[in-house]
Amino acid sequence: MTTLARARFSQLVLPRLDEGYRLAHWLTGNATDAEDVMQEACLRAYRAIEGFAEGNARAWFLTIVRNTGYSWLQRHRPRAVIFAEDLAPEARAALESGSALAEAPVTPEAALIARDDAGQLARAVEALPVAFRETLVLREYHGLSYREIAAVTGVPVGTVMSRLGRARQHLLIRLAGDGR
Amino acid sequence: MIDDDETLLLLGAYLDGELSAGEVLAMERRLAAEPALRAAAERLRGLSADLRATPAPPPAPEALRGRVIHAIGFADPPPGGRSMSGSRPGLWRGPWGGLWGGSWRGSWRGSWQALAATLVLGLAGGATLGSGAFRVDRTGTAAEAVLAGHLRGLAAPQPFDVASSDRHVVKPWFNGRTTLAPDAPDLADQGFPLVGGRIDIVAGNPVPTLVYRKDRHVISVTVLPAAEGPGAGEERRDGSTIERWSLGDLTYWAVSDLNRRDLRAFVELFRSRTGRPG
Repeated sequence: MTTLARARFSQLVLPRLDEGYRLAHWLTGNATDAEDVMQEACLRAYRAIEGFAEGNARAWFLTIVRNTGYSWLQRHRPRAVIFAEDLAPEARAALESGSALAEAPVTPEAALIARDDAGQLARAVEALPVAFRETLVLREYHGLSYREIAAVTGVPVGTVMSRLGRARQHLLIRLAGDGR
Repeated sequence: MIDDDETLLLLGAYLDGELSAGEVLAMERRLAAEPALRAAAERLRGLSADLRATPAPPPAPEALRGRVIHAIGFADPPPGGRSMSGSRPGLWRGPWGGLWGGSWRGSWRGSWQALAATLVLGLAGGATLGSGAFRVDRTGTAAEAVLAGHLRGLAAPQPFDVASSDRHVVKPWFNGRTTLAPDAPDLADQGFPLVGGRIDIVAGNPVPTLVYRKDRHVISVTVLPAAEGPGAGEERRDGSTIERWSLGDLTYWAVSDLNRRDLRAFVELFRSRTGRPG
């Protein structure tokens, strides 16, 4: 049993460490915490590996990393993060419909600075609420399909679509006027 | 600027390649007719391109890989008495009893260097099953990978990737998939019909596996370059019997839950049919 579990672990999980680590990095925002999350996620994956039926191993592992990242954030930064799942229905609706993201347009000066700063876009992504950030990251950096993102984040495909749309509009507004 | 929510969502899904054929058609008609929509599409395309151009976080540090492998071994130490494994206790048990308790980061840095040196040697080749950390001795590594391939085949709907009892189909199928194309003798006349072939991964390399049947039992014959597992021998692991033998510069591994006598008979037969001198 342990032979099989280890073999499956090395076939299914080890090749995906980089990808999982990048997602953990986006979720937690720094390298040290990402390592913490990955250590725990890998152990969870190992314990769950015999229950994993052949299928989309990538989405399966990213789901574990994502959920581990969420519980890590809840443990270590309970006040810094808003979880859509924990909000009252009205607040949740507001979050999904984008009012939580509404913000004053940036000034031309700020936009100019933005254009000169290569890290600006990455920081804008980091500033997104976690539900929007993970959806955007899974799509743009990990290249997952809407259906896979829905499976990883545990929401309907329609919610994936709307979160992605909100996140992108928000980034466009922040970067508005930079000449594109 | 488009501010119709639904249109924006559809446009995003269109650019992500997530619309159905009919919706794509409708969207392309609208794009042709509406300059504002085209401009919005351009902005979204530009954003995606910019996002993908931003540097991703760095890949996982090598130390993390080592720690994960160590922790897996630690979390689930192997049972004693594995005949072929030259496992090293030092790799499995460490002084870090609370590794997962939350304080590992500080407590185990000190001893890391020594362990890292051991691990990195084996990890360089791609950290497939125990290339270094799980199992140091190569024969054990190969046996484990071969067995894992066999068990995975049993767990799958069918134990092979190409289904054919025709050796002239199975052998060429391996071409281009692995660097080895073994002879695939048909032993149906002796009660061991060839049923197909599949690719297994051993030490990070794709290797050919021939699949035979004996009544309801599946026999996997995995072929490795001889260096991967020298010599001949037999062992039992997890209810399966593994027989290995060498021919030329190849080592053959037969795995099955057949009883030893039948597996031995199969191996003798297989060897006699592939038995070029040398």
